[in-house]
Amino acid sequence: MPVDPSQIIVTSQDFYDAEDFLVEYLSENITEASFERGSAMRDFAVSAFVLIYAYLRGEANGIRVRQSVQSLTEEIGKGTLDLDQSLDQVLSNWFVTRREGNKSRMTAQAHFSKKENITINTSTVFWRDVSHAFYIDVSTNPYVISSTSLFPNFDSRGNLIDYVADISLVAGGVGSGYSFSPGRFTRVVTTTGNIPNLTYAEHSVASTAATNDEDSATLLARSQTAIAVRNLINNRSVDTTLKESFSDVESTLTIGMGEQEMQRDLRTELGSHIKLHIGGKYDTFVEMADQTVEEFGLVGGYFPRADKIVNVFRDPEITRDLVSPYLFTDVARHLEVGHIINIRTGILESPRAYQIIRIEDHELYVSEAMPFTEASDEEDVSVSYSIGWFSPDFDQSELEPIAGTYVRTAARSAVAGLEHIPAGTSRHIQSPGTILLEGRPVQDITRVELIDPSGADSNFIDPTTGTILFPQRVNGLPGVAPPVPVDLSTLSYQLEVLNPRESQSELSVSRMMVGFEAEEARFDDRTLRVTYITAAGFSNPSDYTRSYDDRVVAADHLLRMRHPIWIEAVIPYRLKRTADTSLAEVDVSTQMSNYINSFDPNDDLDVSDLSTAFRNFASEVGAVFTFEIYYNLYAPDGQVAKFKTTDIISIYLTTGNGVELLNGSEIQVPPTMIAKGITEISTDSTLTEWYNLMGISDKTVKYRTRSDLINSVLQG
Amino acid sequence: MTWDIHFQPIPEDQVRGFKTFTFGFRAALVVTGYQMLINRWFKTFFTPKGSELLHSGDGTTLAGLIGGNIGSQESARDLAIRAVEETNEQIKAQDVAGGFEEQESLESAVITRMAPQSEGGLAIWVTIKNVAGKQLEIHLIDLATR
Repeated sequence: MPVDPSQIIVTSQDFYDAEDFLVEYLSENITEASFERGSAMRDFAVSAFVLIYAYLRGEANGIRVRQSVQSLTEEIGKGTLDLDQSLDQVLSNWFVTRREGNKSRMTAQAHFSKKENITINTSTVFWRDVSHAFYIDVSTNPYVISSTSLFPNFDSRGNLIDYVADISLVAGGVGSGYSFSPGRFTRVVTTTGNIPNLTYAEHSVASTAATNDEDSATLLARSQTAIAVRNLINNRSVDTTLKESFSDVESTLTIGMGEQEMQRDLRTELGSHIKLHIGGKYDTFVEMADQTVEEFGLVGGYFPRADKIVNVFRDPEITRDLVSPYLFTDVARHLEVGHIINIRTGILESPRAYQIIRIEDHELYVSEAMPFTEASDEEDVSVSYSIGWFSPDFDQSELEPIAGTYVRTAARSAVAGLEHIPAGTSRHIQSPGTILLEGRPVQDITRVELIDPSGADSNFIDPTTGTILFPQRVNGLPGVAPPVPVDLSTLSYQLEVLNPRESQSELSVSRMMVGFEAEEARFDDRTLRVTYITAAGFSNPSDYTRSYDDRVVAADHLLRMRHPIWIEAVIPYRLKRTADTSLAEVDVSTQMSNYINSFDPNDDLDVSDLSTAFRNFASEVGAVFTFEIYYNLYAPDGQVAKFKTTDIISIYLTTGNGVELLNGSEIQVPPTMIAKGITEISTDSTLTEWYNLMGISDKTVKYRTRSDLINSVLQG
Repeated sequence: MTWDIHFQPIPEDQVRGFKTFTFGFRAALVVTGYQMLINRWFKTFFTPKGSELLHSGDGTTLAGLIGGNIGSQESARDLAIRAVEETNEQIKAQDVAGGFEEQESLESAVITRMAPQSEGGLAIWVTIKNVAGKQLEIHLIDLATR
């Protein structure tokens, strides 16, 4: 193992030691010669070689230090030598590698002088300062901004200034040096000429915090757990394996069988009054960097469930095409929940009977716990089926159009405009006013917008954007259409996670609904754009844990992100009399948000912590007045629980912690809690019951904020 | 009795630069006994103080004058006397630490003659005596005995 000469330290003591050794050694071997002080032999045979000997001994010592983790640990603790490379080499013997830092991300606002389609090459460099560049955070080249994504920007008098588009950017390199407070980009450089009509770019929210490459002390601490079996089998090995394989993974927490947060293995459909944890499932909650993404969907369309559960059956040819349609809900069919749909041929394991748990006009639903084995609409196979209630054939329900038909093959509609509806077994679901998001964590929704409203909806159109914006997130279904003139700030949307136990994962089925009560289909066939924050690169470790080669064969392992709690605060302050500058509030907001996001999750964050941190970040501040902290828990089922506190930030309402639940009456109580007689979630006990139902605890939530949510105001 | 490697002054007319000593013009010789003491004393006397890597206190300040012109004979005399005393102290310390035999150990070294030279130099004669009682008057710098 070579040692960099600059890393070899030779002290004066080494010279004296070398002199003593050489004198002793030579005197012993050449007994007749004099090597005493003052002799010429000493000058030539000892003093001349002292330097060389001491240097070689220093190198040997350097090699010795670099041969074991123990000696490296001691030397790294002293901090005198640069042992990064040596540590990497030693730890590579155990296949442990240093984790790279991660990249800061942001959503920038690009300002254009004209509203036209813009094409930007992904090699375009957004220089934040002379040494820090950002690039467009997409994988497809070129990046296209459609003219519908350009929003007009007006001044205070209502004059049009320019057009603005949001662009997701990622830092050109790793490290905390790329974390920037809101500001303007100094230059935007392309290799393919100018970006048409671009005037400047800025970002109004601080870029996300980024980490540097792992330092040696941290790498050493982590290596202690690295000698575990490299499987995904326990908390320690999962942590090691994921962090080792994916530098984006900052921390992990694995929840397994027997822990109160593990609700995914709970089975209630086995029989009434039976609630059984069947085991075999475990969740790993990871921390990863944020990424803002956009999704587009046709409202009211058919979307595949991300969890790939095939539990819907359709036969549009009879439920849609007939003059007198055969509706599954028609009382003449005598269909009831609990009856059986018997798939005779077409999919794996057929013939096989499935119990019906929900009946709609055009759809039959079977249990998500015992779904169909295949989606016939995606496999492009025909499914032969019957419906009934007597074993073994289950063919008592007559299936029109031919009287006396009890077995038929599901088929698509032949009516123009309805051909797209899937037939047979399917994981595609549809409901009025909704789109499904892709399967990935949803940490925060920043914008919900109907980009192509029809003329009939002109009352809802935002005059500044030409689109319909839905700023309010509600827990229940959106209410009735507001009266004209419409208060645009009241337009609302609902995010519902159909499988809360798999929320914040790649299997999450997140359904976004816009529309009004009794007019659910009001915006159907329009395009909804949803902008939200997810984890950058989440699919990589998630796919890894479920891949054929790496998954634990006998278990169901799911990667998730913690349920976010978004914190907001307005901090009132007074400047010192001696302060000679005003407070740089934007910079302090950035520092405060970084402080909150990196706060030790094992400690209680409270008002006092924020006050103290604020004063530390702002030396000009003489006093911080009392204030309240508001925070919103984004629950696994898509609901939002709103809190405020005058003391400790907590999701529990314990005596004396100053926490108050603000919207208990708006939280939709789950059926299982209603069955227990709970009609409102407002007390600590009902709140805890709700948490337990969804597997929420202090361990599985993450307190988060952004710089635009932490503001300060000068008082006095 | 142990031996050291012998060195000797370069003849005055062959001196170039600051090199004033040599092992000889053929093979190097060993030296023992009284001559070894003289060599050791002589080397210490002409070692400029601070030039030893490991023992910066070794040597004398007089050695710094070698090659220079003497402006004040009086000052040069004082330096020479001081240098002899320093050399004696260091040699006796070496004797104790190294366990030299009587022939190799210093009893005394004193300046017996000093004479200004016409070219601005100073000729010095030192009488070196070992513990065994042997002594010689030696001319610095060529070690001549007469």
